[in-house]
Amino acid sequence: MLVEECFIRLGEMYFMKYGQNSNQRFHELTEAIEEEGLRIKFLEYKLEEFDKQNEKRSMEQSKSEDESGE
Amino acid sequence: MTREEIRYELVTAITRRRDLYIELGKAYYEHFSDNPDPEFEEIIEEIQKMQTVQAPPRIQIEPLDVYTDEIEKSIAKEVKEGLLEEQLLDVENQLSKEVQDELTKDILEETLSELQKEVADEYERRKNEGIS
Repeated sequence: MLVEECFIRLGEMYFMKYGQNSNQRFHELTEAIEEEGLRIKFLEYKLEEFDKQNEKRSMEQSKSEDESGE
Repeated sequence: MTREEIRYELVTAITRRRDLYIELGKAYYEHFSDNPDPEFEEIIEEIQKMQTVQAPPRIQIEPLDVYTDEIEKSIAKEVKEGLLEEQLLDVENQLSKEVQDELTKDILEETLSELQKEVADEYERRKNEGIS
């Protein structure tokens, strides 16, 4: 494991254990991590929705093609 | 917003959060590595081990006057050696010239004696034949 990966692991462990109750010194960092976490969740949701919509649209399209073919 | 744009933003946010974790980990390490939370002891030990291995060797810097003395001595030595070398070269050249002169003198003497012998022989031969 690289030293950078160890720092990530330590940061994650600290964030998971203390989160919003973090030491005053690290408050800004934990807050920013939380914000990024929410943004990531939102973007993942958007991406999922985007894929669902695409799937739905292609299903409808193939359905209408089948109907017009009949 | 296209799918690609959403993906790009997602990757950017993940990278940003990763950098923030690094920053948080480093900040914690700097402030609490001497007295860490028992749950983090293992990972802190791991970092300490890695930093011992990865730390570049410390360079011992001598005071400037030590360097100055060393440099002066080294220059003096080089100058002295240079002069001696020059003198040695002069002596070599002189000797080489003398040897060369000596050799030339020997060769000339030898040639002269050979010529003298040839002339004497020729004189003797003609004398015997009654030509001279």
